[in-house]
Order: sequence, then structure tokens, then C-alpha cells
Amino acid sequence: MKLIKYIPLALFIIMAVFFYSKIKHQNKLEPLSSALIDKEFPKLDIYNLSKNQSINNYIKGKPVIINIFASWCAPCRIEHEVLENYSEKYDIIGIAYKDSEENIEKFLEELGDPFDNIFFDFLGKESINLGLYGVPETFFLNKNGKILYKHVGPINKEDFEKLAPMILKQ
Amino acid sequence: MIKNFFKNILISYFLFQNFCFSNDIYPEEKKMRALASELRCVVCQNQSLLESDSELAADLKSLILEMFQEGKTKKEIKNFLVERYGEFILFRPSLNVNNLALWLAPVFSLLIVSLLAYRKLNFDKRKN
Repeated sequence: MKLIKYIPLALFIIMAVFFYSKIKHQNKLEPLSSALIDKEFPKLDIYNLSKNQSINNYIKGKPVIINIFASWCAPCRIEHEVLENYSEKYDIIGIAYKDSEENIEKFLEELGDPFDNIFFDFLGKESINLGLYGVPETFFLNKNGKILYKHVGPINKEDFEKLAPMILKQ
Repeated sequence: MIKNFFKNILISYFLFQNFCFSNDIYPEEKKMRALASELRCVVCQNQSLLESDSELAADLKSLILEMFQEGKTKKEIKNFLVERYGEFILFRPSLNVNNLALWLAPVFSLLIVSLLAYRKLNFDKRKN
């Protein structure tokens, strides 16, 4: 009976420990995770400009990095240099989001073309299948077409160097 | 007399015209609005999808409308969005193993408080 008066205190301690561990754990989590991580790349109805290849056919059997970008997106310009630096080493493909062919051509002429192939999502609806929050976003896929990681926002050199090698390992 | 009649007609028109427009909403759009109000905008995270003016929210709303028009059910559309954006998109999390603590916490708290209250009342009774 006497012990019962300690229950609130015990509860307070349990809850304090629980919330503290949750807060500590949160620091280790990525800012915006994706529900698609560790899942297969979804089937998308998007093609390259000559319409002879779908994105799903292109990525089959090889590790790739998929960057969703647009010529009207300022952060995409910032990360473009990073992609350019690694275009020789990795197979990087682009998904042009809600953009026109002319604008994409101008954008790549101005900043360089790091992409092995570019697919067009003119209406932006197919990118919803990738759980898109906004451009730019970068997906890292292994040779089995499994999404290993998704980076939201412009990717910097340090993050790219840390993330890209894993697509070759797995 | 005639002047008053037209005046009344005109006043009634301006008073009730909005009701006419409200009935024009198609059933799929009504369903879309109801579902969008249960979903979180992943860009403006404190707003529902329905309230949000972000570009992505507009795309998602038009996609939901299309899916309703294709005959998909509310559950199918919810599952489609959860598969892509995770449970985070739902304002009301579903009941599963991961969320069990979240759902049981209020019941658990209520039980403890009830137990404490019961003991306290019994103690006071015996004292009296």
C-alpha cells in the first residue's frame, strides 16, 4: 500500500528515460526518410526524349544514381557541380521534373551534362510514385534495382562521397 | 408591389446563390476533399493536404481525384500514398505493432489514474 504513492514518481522516471532515449535516437535519423528505402524501384511511365526507352528498362541490372531535377530549380544548380564531378565514376541518370526539353537543353549547355540518360516527367505525376517531396532529390539504387537511399534537397560532395560507394557494394 | 417583388427576388438570389454552387460539386470531388482533409501535406507539414496551396499538394489532390474517378476506394488510395510517403502522411496513424504504444498509452494512463483514484477514495472512506 505504501508503495503505491511512488507510482507517479516511477512513471515520471520511466517517461523521462523513454523520451530522452527517443530524442537521442532522433539525432541518428535522417532528416527526411523515405517509405521506399529497401524496396524495389517502382514502375514508372516515363521515357527518354526519343521515347525508345523507359526508365525501368534502362536501370535494369546496373547500380545507378537517379537525380530528379529541373531547370527552374535554384538548388539543382548548386548540386549540379557535384554530379558533374562524379559522372565518370557512376552511372547517373536524370529525371527532368515538370520541365520542357528546350529549357533542359539550355540548362545542361550552361552547366554541363553529368547524365548518362535523361527521362522526362512532364506533368510531375510519375514522380509521386517515388514519394517526391520536391526537387532536387537523389536516389541510390543497387544493381538489383533496390532503393538503398534517398537524399532530399541538394546533395553536397561529402554526402555524395559517403553514399555513392554503397550502390557498388550491395 | 411589383417593385417589392423584384427586390425580394434579387435579395433571395444573392442570399442563396452559393447554395446552388455548393450542390455542383461532383461526388468524387467531395470524396477527394474528405480524404485530403485526413492527410498531411508533406511540404507544409502543419497543414492538411486540403488546406495546403503547395504545388505537390495540388498534384496529390488531382491524383486522388483521378483515382476516385477511376473507381478506386478510399482505402486503396490511402494505401497507395502510405506506400510512397509512409504513415507520416496520415493524420490518424493506423493501428499496428509499431504504433501500438501510441494507441495504448491513453488507455494505460487512464487505468493507472483510475486505480490511484479508487485507492485514494477507499482510503478516505476508511478514514471517515
